[in-house]
Amino acid sequence: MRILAFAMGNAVRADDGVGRAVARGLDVLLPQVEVVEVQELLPEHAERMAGADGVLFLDASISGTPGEVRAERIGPRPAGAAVIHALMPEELLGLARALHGRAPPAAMITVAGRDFAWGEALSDEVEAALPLARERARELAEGFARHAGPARVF
Amino acid sequence: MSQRIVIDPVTRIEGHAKITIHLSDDGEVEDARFHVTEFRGFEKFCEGRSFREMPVITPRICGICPVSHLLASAKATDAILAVEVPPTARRLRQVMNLGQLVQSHALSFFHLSSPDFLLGFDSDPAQRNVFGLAGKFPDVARDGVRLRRFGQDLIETLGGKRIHPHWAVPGGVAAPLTAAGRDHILSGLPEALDIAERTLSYWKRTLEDRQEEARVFGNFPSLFMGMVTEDGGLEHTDGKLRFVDEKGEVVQDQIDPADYAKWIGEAGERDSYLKSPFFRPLGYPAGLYRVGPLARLNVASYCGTPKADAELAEFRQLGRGAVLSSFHYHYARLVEILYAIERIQELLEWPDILSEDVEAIAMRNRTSGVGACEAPRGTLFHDYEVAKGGLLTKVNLVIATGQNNLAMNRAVAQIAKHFIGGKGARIEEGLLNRVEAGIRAFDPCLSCSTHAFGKMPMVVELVGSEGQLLDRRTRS
Repeated sequence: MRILAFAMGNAVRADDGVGRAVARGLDVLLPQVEVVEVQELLPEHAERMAGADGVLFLDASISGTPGEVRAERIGPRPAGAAVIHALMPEELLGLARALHGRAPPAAMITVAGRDFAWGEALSDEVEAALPLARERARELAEGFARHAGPARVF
Repeated sequence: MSQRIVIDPVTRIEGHAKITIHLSDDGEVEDARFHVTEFRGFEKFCEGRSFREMPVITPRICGICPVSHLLASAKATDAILAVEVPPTARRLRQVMNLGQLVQSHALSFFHLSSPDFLLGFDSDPAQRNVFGLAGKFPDVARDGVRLRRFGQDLIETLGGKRIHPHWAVPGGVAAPLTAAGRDHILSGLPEALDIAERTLSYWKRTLEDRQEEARVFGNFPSLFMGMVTEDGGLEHTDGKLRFVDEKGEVVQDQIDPADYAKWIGEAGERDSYLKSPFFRPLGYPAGLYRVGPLARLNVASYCGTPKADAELAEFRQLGRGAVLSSFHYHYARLVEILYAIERIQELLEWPDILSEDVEAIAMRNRTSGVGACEAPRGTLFHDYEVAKGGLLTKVNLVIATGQNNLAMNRAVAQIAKHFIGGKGARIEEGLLNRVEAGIRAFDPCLSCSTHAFGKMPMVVELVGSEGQLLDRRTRS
């Protein structure tokens, strides 16, 4: 089973880099995971995504109590705006379905941040939340197997 | 009483550009102006920095064509060092420039403009985008995504990342190409070539249906400028400048880009931050000239690769000298994509392309330097002056979009004349769509305002000479 994890965010804007931090070490829990580090989602990612059995989006959130982990399944939807360099995960899934006939099961895992200023270190409460975020990612990824249709090979 | 129509596109980064259409007393369109209201300030805040930093700083000007700024900047610093860039590094820079041209032209044609062509200029703006395209023409949308990915992969393979690579440096490039990298790029060429040929074939088949756009989207005589090789061939990175007139006759040739200021003046207008360069011998504004894909195909005597040369010969049939309609920028982009793919292959098959001798090291040897290259949208100049310690005292950037400023004004006026006609003080939706599309033919680098096409919020106001509001339309 091939799981694609998009680790999103800017690693030099403190807690904005938490998506990348969650992805580091995720392979211990999910040996089949393939991590793609991105600052933004692009239409080119749709094809790669369409060939996966499941997709995880790992990102920081500006809302919530710092360190709060949220995890939820998400589905495809049409783009709300035509700005191709401001794609949302749901829109990228929509594009994968429109272009390649398939949107894999997907989930969004976010950790609320406190500090988004210049810096490479995570806030203490965000750092402490990493194990829980990875565990939630694992749980959701295991759930993909129960919902996934056949992946297509590109 | 003269009147004005103001089209003020307001995008998610507010206040990029607006268009004012001036009407005469009897409601006829007299003139149009394209204003850029966004101030960047790069030329000023780079003063005091070391010239060696410029290839890192200036690519931040743009997320679509950072490679152009990277290369023009590196070439300006080469001139300050007074070094000869190793042949392998020179070719690698050419490869990256062509890779960027492919990805940028693919973005312009497939993502931004083809929804107009395939879904219709008057289709629902909410659907007139790459997502609407994906729903109705998934094969075309897939081609666009894949072609753009090829160019971006190439940039990443050479420079380590797709956007803002730190790769070209004063005197060369920071890292040689590996055999694996070369093979990876070469492996993508067949599909890219298929897409380019398929798209060109489609475009030529349907060109007959686009005669109205070709007639009124900026169709007028002007000068054209672009880089050429020593014998007049198409060149994007290391050429000399050539101007041709509307008959296709050479007006000036083999101008060293370092002498650009002798031939190109820069006018400023009070209502726009975008400069208006002009051909000095004709003065301002008579010295209007166009740059970019259309201009490059008009100035070049030949392309230099077999498929592109065949396409160039066919393209030339559109004019009785130079091809004059700005609508044919789209066609020219497709020919250039084909050329770039063929030329990348030639460059990568050069025997020493994997050489590790890719950087010439030197101290500062001059106090000024000019670097130029052909960006996707036209010729780009970086002009630096430095103090003896190497800190910049003056920076001048001449950007492609600015050089097309006067032409875009004229194109908007022509479109407005056609679609407003003598109808006077009314602003119709069809006018907005076509003005938007007419500007887009130039692919101006006002990234956000032009990329948010179809959903571009617009405020259009018709204002009388005494400031009274005569008509107002909004699209949000």
